[in-house]
Amino acid sequence: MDSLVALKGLHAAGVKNDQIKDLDIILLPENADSTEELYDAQDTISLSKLLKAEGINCANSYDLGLDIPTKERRSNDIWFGHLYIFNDTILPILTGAISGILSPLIMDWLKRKDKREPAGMVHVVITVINEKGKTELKYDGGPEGLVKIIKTLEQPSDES
Amino acid sequence: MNPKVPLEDLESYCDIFFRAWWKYFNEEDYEACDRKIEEFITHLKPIYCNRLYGNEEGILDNYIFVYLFLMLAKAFEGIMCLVAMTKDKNWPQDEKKVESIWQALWDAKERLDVFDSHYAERETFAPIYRLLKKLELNFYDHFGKGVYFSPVIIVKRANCSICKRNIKACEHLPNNFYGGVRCKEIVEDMKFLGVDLVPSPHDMRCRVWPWNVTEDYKIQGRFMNLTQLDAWIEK
Repeated sequence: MDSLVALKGLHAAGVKNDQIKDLDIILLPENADSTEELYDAQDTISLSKLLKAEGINCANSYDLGLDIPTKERRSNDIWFGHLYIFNDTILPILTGAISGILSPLIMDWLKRKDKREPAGMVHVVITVINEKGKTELKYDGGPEGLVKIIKTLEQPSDES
Repeated sequence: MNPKVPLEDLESYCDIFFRAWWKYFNEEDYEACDRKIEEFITHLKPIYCNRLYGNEEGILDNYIFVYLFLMLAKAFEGIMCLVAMTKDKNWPQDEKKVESIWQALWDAKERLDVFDSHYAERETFAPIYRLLKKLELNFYDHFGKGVYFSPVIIVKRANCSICKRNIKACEHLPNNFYGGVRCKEIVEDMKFLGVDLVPSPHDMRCRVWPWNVTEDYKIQGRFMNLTQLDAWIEK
């Protein structure tokens, strides 16, 4: 859990390591690693509900006892905040849940024959912590690219 | 109060409505189209609003069906407005008309999308989507891709319309149906941070039109739409 020291904002807000030690994933405020006032990203809550429905042991800011606001940008973009994954066996389920939320956006991109038609982007930071260490990915781009990248995280590394 | 459309006839009633409207539309009998829509909404709206089929388990999914067809009928009504407003081929020269058509276009598209997201009847509606797409591209030809207002809001507290709890605490997903009712996020407390100008907005109605920008760069326009597209159903 040493890597969580980086999440200054979360600790400053009173979250203890004990609260998160048994979780598969936590869905953190998008500015969790800063000392500013914390706020959730707009699409974090839907993602946490989908993961819980799949039986994933996850927590959002509310579950961690934080009473923080949500930043809603009324653009066509999707904002997932900072996903902190402690159990990488959940990655296929995470991919499924994210794909579900992104499907309207992916459809928009696929149907977009004319480049003038607007298409939304996805914004997320993903940190995976396992016995091999820590992998961090900051993604701001099209929806299909994110799904592909998470799928690569699912694949076992060379030595395994 | 008994529903004018009995539960056992509901699906065929909706199917007949859709086929009749489509036939009149293709025949360009727009008066008949309007009549069909009015009759359909008059019969179905009280069923949804007043739960005329009752609230027993097993019946509730029919309210989703009614809701989706009401949204479809309203989308058709919007398409009728678009046909009337674009009849005069010089509409792109009329600034107020341009703004109204753009608004009606996105109202119709989004209502159609609500229906489509549950029924996936995209093939059936392909000609309608083509019609709306053609009109959308017509806008890009005349006025470019555009820029849009996009407000940034801090939502301090929002509740779930189904269970009334904090939306972060419950299992209900906004826009999904529970017991035949669509879940919505009800914002109780918010702070407005500002407005961005973006190329890909959440709400396409918030387009900045060049004639609404003054020489000293003051912009007048809609930056947020507080009216839900289904608000008319519950009135």
